[in-house]
Amino acid sequence: MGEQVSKSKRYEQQLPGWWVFKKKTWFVFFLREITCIFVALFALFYLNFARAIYAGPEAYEEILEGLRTPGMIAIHCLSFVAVVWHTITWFVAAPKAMRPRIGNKLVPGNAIIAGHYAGWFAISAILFWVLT
Amino acid sequence: MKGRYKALWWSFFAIGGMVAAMLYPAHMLVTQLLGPAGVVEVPSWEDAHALFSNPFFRMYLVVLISLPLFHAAHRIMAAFMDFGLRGSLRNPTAAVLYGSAIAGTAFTIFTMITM
Repeated sequence: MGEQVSKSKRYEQQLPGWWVFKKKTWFVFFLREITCIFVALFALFYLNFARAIYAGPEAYEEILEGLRTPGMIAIHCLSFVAVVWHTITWFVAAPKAMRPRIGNKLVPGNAIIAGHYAGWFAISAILFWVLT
Repeated sequence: MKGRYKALWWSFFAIGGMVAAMLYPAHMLVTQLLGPAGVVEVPSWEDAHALFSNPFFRMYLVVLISLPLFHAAHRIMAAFMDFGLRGSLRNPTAAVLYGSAIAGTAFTIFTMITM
């Protein structure tokens, strides 16, 4: 009897693969999750960009030339939108992940989100200044 | 994946997500859009090389590139599970995804030290 119990399988819920298309909220969730592909692609692009700079002026000029092609600009417009979507959804989720207190009071969720946006704008301004 | 490592992977996911959220849009806007479009001036190779050779900027690049790879690995793994990945394929898939993030990190560190 005990042996039978130990042999029993753990319950694993089966999900149809197309479930994300059944509800708008699930599809929006899915869109948020796939932004990570564009995040990974940019990480790899920037590593390649850094390596081109280290390799010398010709490699740098070559990668800049590639960035100016219409196809690349179109792809980069799409990936920029995806990564900004990642940023917005990340900030919206922030109060759910951490909820600091001041004294006995919880910091309001909107204040946490606003703080993230303020930090984002400040950091972006600094990066803009450093990179141009 | 053992339970005790979950917190470690999750923290990499969370910090990588924050790095990408805070830093990626400005980098993308300058390097991939405004520079190629001619809206902002693209730095000369000498200026770019001086910035990218700075030791602090090299350390920044390791953080900028590596942590979001863990973020992406974690989310892709979660997406596979959401789409029904179960059973014996789970651990090999996790190994490939997190292994890729580790390899990417190692290659980034190697690049920053040797180039």
